[in-house]
Amino acid sequence: MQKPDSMPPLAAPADRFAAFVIDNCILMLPIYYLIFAPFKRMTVESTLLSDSNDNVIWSTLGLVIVLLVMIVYQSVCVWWLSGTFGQRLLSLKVRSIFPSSQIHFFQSISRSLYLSITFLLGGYPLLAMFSNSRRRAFHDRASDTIVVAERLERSAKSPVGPEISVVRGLYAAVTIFFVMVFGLMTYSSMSVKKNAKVALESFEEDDLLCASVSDALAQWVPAEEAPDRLVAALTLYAAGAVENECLKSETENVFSFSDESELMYLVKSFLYSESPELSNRYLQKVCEVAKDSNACHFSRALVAITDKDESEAQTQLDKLTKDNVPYAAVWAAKYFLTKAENQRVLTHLAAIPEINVLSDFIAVTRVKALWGVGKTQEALGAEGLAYSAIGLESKLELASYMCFEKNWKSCDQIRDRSCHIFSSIIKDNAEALAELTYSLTELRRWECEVNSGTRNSKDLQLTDFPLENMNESVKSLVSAMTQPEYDVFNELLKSENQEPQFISEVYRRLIQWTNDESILKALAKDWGSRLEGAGFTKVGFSLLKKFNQLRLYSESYKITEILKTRIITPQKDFLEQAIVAAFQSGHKATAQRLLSDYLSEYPSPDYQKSGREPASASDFLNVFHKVIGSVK
Amino acid sequence: MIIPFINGIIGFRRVPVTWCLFLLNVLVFVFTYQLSDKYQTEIERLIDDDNYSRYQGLLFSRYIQDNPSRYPASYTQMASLALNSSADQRREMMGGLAMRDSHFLSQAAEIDWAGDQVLRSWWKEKFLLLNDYKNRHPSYMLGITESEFKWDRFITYQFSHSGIEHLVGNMLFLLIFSSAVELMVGGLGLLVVYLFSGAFAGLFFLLMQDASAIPLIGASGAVSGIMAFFCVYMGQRGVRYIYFLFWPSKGYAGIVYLPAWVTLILWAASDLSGLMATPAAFGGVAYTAHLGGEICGALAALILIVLRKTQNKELLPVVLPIDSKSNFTQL
Repeated sequence: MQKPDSMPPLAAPADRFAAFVIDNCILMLPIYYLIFAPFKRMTVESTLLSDSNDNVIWSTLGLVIVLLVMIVYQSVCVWWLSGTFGQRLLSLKVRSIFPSSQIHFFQSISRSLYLSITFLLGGYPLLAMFSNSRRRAFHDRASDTIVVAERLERSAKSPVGPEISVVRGLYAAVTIFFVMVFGLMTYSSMSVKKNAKVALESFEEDDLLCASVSDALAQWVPAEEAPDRLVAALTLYAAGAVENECLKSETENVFSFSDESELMYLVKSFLYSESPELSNRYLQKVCEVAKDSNACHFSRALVAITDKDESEAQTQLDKLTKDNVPYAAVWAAKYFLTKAENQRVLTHLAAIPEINVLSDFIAVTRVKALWGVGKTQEALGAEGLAYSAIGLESKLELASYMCFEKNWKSCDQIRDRSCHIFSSIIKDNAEALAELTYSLTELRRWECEVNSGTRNSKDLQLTDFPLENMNESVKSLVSAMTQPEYDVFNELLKSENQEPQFISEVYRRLIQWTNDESILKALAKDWGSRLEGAGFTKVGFSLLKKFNQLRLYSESYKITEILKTRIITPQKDFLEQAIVAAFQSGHKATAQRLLSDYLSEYPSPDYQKSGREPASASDFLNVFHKVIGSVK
Repeated sequence: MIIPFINGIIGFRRVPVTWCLFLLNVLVFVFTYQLSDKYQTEIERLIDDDNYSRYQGLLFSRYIQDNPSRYPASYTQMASLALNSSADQRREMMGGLAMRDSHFLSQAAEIDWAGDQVLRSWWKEKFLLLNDYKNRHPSYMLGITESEFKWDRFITYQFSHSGIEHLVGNMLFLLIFSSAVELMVGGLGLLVVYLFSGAFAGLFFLLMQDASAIPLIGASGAVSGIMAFFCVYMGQRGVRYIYFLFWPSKGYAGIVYLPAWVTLILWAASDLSGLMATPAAFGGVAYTAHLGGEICGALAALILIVLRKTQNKELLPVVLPIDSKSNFTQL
């Protein structure tokens, strides 16, 4: 049996690495590029052509071929020249560990194969060059070879203690690393399966979004009046029951190259809503294609809404609802709700078909409209029915609305089911507070619960209000309310692109916050031009109460006159404040007229329970008696 | 890393033509930069509009389906996928590909596409605007495109560059190799090699059907020719290279003298693999132009070698110093 050579002049690991760089990064690199090039091309083309895994196959195949070429190069050079070109340039030589043996061809092939395995393992086995006494890496030992230096001045000694210890430490670290990576990959592959299932479910759900159109048509009442798919899709889209993607898929390939259709152009105006230039062109085209069609009237309504031509918008929408155009009815209901024209909302709601997909929208809108017209008992009844039927998102929307509405004047109904349902949903879905409406409701609810509904903002410990998850605008508002100066409020009022609800809330809080006559007069001056709908009425009422509180009756009377024209069904507290304002400002006839309206709806204040603050109770009572006395 | 160093950068007095070529390239860039930047920005703004590129992609896909004989199978397949799915990314990609297809671009505005007339008229307005920008863009005015076949373009394209990086990259190699060639064959010889290589590179580019609606610009075809001329003319003579393996110490970094043809092999292999690796419609580098320049430069060198040998002239000018210590001749 042959014995290995005692201790030949060993090749330094740095020289071996340099030889590797010369071989594979300079000499052979162009060949590798040329070999891999067609595979790269196929990878790119298969990526573009399909979603299959062909690109992975092509790139893997390319790498395998390159690896084979590397093996052949190594094998031939080691067998023929006793080393690769890089090794020979650096005067290194690969020889058999047994000095009298020559390296035969199969030995060099096996050496190259073991070397390629080393690379597939990330070069980890090469660390043996720093720990093995003869600096033999895995592929050297497996093939009974050794790399020696022909020039003694460049040879290396055997590894010493510290070097060996470092390498052993690295071995341990790399092993642990590989184990962790393997474990994580196993875990994540299990998660991928789970996510794939979720993704599949989501895909199915997406499919249901457009399947919603089919479902809606199947449920349409009466069935013989079921419209075509696009009308149904547009109706569902208007109600927020389907997303853009559903509309898009309904129009996509049908419209791309087929005949024009006014309804298609109308739908496209929504699909391109983020590009105003295109959206407007689509709207204009609708009437060019079919002048007297429903789609044309609807497009005119939309243009009128954008141009703030309310009478034109109302005319067009009323006509469409009368003609039973369902998407127009839905749109009109939403539009008039923002204007607080709740009676109109109820009219348009009646024209919307009662199908499952629209049930949430109808239920929530109905409750809001009933509340808005002052049909309190009906609204509460509808609210109770709705909670048992609608989905979570709609439940949150409804509960938030009702909790806010019931408690914005006083905190009498803070223990009501609306606020209870709202807070229980928010507890599990705190991220929903990022939405402005829900943040405002939560602020009001917290004020009522924690501060027992104290009206004076300055007494509120707003610094304790939990701001995490809150909408940014509401955070700014809370900050303004805790500042001594008016400036922050002013900045909030001047800021652009704020929601009307937020602006009206800023007004209301500012009115609560300040007793400064000049600030209040300034607010009264521009409130009317900035706000509309429910916000207009709320802020107006807040101003009315504040002026009465400060005994600025001429100002409160002006507010009353403006509000009277906008409030269809005056509520009790409005009438009380209006009567006080009219009488105290010297408009006794108006006061009497308002009082007779009041008494026709509500019992005399002498017989009412006193649940109000003493100030307003005494104000109204005093005025009531004076007016009654003057009448007598 | 290994890069040729040759003589470094030689002064104007010794290589005036090299510096003139350099300055001409720089001047053209400076004078056209503002306009290029302005119109390029406008063109990109239009193309970056998703609605525009998607609709254009839709039209181009339909065009491919209507003219299948003009396109390879891969295009037909891509077009089919873009038409049959609502995948916006596919259509955007096709919209990008359409910008390279001069057949489609020359006809698209005139074809009476059925369907969505709003999007069509909107797209057409943008398309005509885009064409207007292109007509005023210096690269389109000076470069070679498939549709604009004018002989002067084979010269003008060589002096036009798309950006500062493009210019610097080409000028660096121009200064290194052109100065060496000028020392070997004189200023007139250099000029002839430069212009002919550049022109041939452009012609080769057209003949290999790589041309598209995107203009071919840049000095790299000419520079490739200069480099190939240098390498072939130097033949076995040594050229100085700076190398750096992985560590700045003796043996792992320094200077080495290798035969000049090594550079040509490396360069040609790089261009060839680039050409093979990139589908024609997606390339940003005109590898065929490089290869054409290299072929022309190599041929020119061979012709000059044969001529000088038949005239019994020295290949290299006598004035050049010979380094007696080295096995190779050092310039």
